[in-house]
Amino acid sequence: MADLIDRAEGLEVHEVPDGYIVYQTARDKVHYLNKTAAVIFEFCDGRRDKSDIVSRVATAFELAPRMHDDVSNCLDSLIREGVLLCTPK
Amino acid sequence: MLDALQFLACDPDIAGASAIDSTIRVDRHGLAYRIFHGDDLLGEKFNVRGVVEMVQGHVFQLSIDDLPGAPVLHAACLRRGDRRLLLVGDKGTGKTTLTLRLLLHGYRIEGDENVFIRHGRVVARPRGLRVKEGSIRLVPELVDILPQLGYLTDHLDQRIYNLDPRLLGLDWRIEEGPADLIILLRANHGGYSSIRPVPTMWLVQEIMQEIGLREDARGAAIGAIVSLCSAANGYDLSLGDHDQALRCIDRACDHQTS
Repeated sequence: MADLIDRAEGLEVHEVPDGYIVYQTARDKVHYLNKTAAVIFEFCDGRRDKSDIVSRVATAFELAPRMHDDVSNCLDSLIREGVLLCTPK
Repeated sequence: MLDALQFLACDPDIAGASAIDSTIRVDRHGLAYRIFHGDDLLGEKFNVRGVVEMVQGHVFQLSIDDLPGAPVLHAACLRRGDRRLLLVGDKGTGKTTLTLRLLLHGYRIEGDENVFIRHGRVVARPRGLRVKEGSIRLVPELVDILPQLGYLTDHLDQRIYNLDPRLLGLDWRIEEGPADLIILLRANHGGYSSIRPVPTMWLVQEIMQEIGLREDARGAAIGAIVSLCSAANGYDLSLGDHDQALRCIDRACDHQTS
């Protein structure tokens, strides 16, 4: 069963006109999320799995199927950076 | 020694609470100089340059202590009418010379080196303008003024003067407030000058590279930087010809008001 994706603890999220600036206190690291990444981040609320999020972002932006991998890669990147967490359903 | 300490002289008009006096004393002690703040010994130096650098560093530290948690941005801070602009650039981009040209073009100075950021607003660090003797070539109005001023020499034995902007017939007043324009400088020595707006995210990224963040309260400091940048219009200025640069900045300021 696919994992649910949630935001990590200890993030300070600042909204700017062109996206989010996220300060990760645990790693003392700043992440710059463009508008698309910010929307992806917003969908990660601990209630959806990866395929659901990709599907919703694709619908929101009317993305062609070939772009779905980009959304998936963005999620993977944010997970690798510890900004997002995977938790078992 | 007194002549050398003139390099640190600085007395701008500052809005807000009255200044608090602190006494820093330099005593001769054999071959050395001892520097005291009140009764506390700050250190011992064996030459005038060392004394000046220690006093300068200590005064900077006092201003940092006075604004705990406020990040320090390496930027010149100027006013045009009621608008405030920050010039942000590395050493060698021509920030000081451009600042001088802007002053003589009708802008007012608050500070030429650092601003403290608090709650999305800035306040310039009080300090005289540091002007290299080589600037005379680009700002001939300085020819008669600089030789009267306190100075230090850099590693190339070039004089760096401490200029009170009032000697140029200008006001010098510092007050806390928002930045309306933040201009990132990129050197284009010998070339043309051009300016273009930049998005907020880019502005924050660039500012973060020029900022001194303290170990404590870094999250709050980043929040203050984001607030500052979100409320300002950001520009990237490729700095070559100074006359063109002045026109670029004038246009950016005018665009801000229209």
